[in-house]
Amino acid sequence: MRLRNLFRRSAVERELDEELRFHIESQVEMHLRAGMSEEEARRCAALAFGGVERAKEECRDARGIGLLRSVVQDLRYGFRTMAKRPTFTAVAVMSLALGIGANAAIFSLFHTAMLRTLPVKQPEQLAQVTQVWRGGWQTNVEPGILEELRRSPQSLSGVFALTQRTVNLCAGGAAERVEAQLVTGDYYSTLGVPAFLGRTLAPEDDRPENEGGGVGVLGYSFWTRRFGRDPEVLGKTVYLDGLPVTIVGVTPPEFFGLDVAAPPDITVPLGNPAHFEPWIWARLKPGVSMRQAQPELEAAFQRVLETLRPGSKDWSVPDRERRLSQRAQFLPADKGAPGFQVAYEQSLQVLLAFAGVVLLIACANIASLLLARSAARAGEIGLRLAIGAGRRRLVRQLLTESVLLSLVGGVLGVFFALWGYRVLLALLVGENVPETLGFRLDFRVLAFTAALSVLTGVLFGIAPALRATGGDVFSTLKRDPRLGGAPRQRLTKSLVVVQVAASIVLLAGAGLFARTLRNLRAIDPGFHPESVLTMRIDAAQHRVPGQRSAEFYRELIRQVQAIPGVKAASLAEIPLFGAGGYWTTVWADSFPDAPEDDHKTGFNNVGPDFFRSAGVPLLAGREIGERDDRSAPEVVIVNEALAHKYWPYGNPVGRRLGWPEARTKFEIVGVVRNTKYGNLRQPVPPMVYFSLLQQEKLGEVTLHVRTLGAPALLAARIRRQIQALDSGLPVYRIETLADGVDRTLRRERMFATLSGFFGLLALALTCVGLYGVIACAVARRTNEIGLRIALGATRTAVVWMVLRETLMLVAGGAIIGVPAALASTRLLRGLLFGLTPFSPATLAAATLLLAALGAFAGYLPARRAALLDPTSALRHE
Amino acid sequence: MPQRRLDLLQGTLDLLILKTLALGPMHGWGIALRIQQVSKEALQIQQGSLYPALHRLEERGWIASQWGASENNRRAKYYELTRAGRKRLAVETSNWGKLAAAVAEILATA
Repeated sequence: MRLRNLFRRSAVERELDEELRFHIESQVEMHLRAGMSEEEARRCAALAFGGVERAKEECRDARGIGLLRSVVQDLRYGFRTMAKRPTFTAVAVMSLALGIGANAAIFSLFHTAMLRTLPVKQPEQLAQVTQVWRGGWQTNVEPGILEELRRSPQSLSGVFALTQRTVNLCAGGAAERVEAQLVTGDYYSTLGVPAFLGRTLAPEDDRPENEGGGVGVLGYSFWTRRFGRDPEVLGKTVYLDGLPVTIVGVTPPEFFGLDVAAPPDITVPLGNPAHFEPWIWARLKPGVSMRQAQPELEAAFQRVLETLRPGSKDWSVPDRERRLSQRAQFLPADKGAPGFQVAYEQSLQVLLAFAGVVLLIACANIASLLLARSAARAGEIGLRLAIGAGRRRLVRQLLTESVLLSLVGGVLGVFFALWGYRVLLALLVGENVPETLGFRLDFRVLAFTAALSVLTGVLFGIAPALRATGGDVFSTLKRDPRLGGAPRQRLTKSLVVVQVAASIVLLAGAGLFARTLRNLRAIDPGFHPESVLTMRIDAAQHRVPGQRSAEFYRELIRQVQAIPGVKAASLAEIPLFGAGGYWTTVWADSFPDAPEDDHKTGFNNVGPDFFRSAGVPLLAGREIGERDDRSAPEVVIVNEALAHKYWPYGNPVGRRLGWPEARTKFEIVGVVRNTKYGNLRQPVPPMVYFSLLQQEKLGEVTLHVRTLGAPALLAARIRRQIQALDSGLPVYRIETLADGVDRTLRRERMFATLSGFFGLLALALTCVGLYGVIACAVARRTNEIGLRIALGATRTAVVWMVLRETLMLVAGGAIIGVPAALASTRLLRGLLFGLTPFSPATLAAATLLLAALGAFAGYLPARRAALLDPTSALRHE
Repeated sequence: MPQRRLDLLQGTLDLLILKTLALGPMHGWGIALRIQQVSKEALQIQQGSLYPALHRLEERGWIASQWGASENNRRAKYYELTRAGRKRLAVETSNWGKLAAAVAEILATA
């Protein structure tokens, strides 16, 4: 019945019309028969009946179809109003979409990376062992803890160890770099992860001879990407760094290992944990808390430390003491390894704050737009109240309109979030984004977005709606819109002031980040990053029987140097700028008092003529040459910083340095200029460069090539030449030194880009808000302005009058915004470089930019006011 | 608008409508006339409020409607009491009697 009424609306309406018409006509006829004139009869009938529309409305309500039907009606009406005012709608919807989209994107990543628990059995029972000391902690721990914990499992139901490394995987002739995870045999059983295909690793797989090979389990996404989900892969053999590995199984799609940001492609047995500083994880017995298990871990760790006697490992005395002062602690691990969280938590929090402020501005914008519109519609609303519309009904309709507006914004926002998420990840993580961090439109994110948009609609729909329907019918109808409601204008103005203030905060933050990036870019790294091409070569793969490492390296360099266009070429173990950097402690013969074991000296192993190839000036002595191999005395080159630290008054060339037991192991043969190492922010550390040709094992090396033309042009040619030497040799990460330096600026670039984007967005929204308010004010004052012009006010005076109002709003915003910016940018201190958060120049620039654009936004309506024709303005109704 | 008076009026109007229809099918206009005549013009009902009451009673199933021809041969909507409506009328009438008696008692003694 109700549905029928809803769909056959017109038929029902017709019947209602007819019924009421019959009534009124009958009454009129009765009056006519009594001798009234036609006109009088109709008037009397109408009076006796009362409001026809109200009666109809009440009849509809009485039928119980009122609510649903009127919602449909409201929606239709809402869509019509939106379509009728495309500019208003576009501005409102876009500002909401951007605000909501940015928030949803950042919240999604936050959720994916920070809040998601591991997809394993009862993740809340998992704990990771950490070693803590004053001022630091690490997750790479003493391998002995594993055995000790296994021996006394009072509170633990399982313990396992694992480590991760990038290895070269060779299958069917093609080689590629993959993430391999090395685990003890009880890894899968402790986590409770079953096999998707085949089987997982078992304790009997974990034998010393299987270290890093033997049998392996593929991750689902790697299985998909590399083997096209071929079930025949079971039993096949692949090679990991040359070791044969038989594939025995595939893990389920939802299992991504323990670190969401680094899912393993293949998992193999760990073999002997003592060869690593592994991660150690434990599963607590049901009902045992982490606190209860803690003493057991401490006891186990103490037993491990007791085995660390002097000489039992090649540690120096201070190093051992540092270790002995450490403690072991359980860390909750239900959300996986803390890697990604630690790296990006702060960044994401800052971004969430930025996006939140943008949303605030967007909401303020919507609110003032709705307020302005409700002012324009005061007449319409008054009329509808007068002909009998219920107040509640009108409020509901206005609310429907604003919720509709924000829902459309929210839906667009989800699309914007999809796109924004990818941009965000690319800026945050780089090109190699693991699949596990992919966008997942899950329920929580959707709920968050929907709640945000509906809340915005209700919050900012309700004030204008109540206000619009608030006054009594007659005053609304009679009120001259030109005289306007002062209180509404005050509310709109305060909203604009809030927008201006919030924009100043965002712009100041964006300015600080932009200047930080510029400061970092302006730093001289000590070398010419653009002209040197680097590529990584995994020489561990090269297994020609009987060939010594030095011969291979020399041959490699010779081949590359023969390529036309190559000025100079040499090898180093890691790029000149360092990939994270290698650190050690050296003892110099000039210092009888041994310095602390500080690990503050950077090092690298370099090949013949390395510094000439990398474009670093040699200041004294000579380069390491072709003949500095294992048959020659061991030599090193140091940088200025090291020379200055240990030989402040003399020439270090010819002096010796080494380890605590052998302080004269190496002879210094040269001094090179300081170059930044690992990090542009830090001062250049003391550096020591050993001879690559004096290293025994073939490993990963980095080719440095100085070219005549653009480096990129030669990359393919060089790669071919190397692979002609040995086709199984993986060559990867081909880039200039500049790219490597740039990578360390990723976070700064991300902040500068995104905060700049948010700042501009805030600026644009605020200008739209300002424009709206001023335009509205001008429209309201058309008569007054016309009068002023008629009485002789000059155009300039009129423009100035309107502009002054604009600037007052901007000034009001600045009064709040500048202290707010000072207070909030203090939190960014650790992220800045070369300037402090208290930066008057940045703040002034932000305020001035806002004032200038705000003045422009105010100038448009001001000019319109000044061009008013006084006669028509005075007649304006 | 004071809600309480409306409630009392609404209940009373329902009772009057049911009672009027107990005499036979009638259209809205006829009901309005009849209430006015029988009460000797003492009860002035806003005619517009009659229809929401009719629709409400129909929605509750106490009355039913169908289109028919009026005295002057025009299409009019006729309402009639249903079985449920008759029961309702009995209940309402007795309620009204009790209420009126109680009020009269109070007025007589107090």
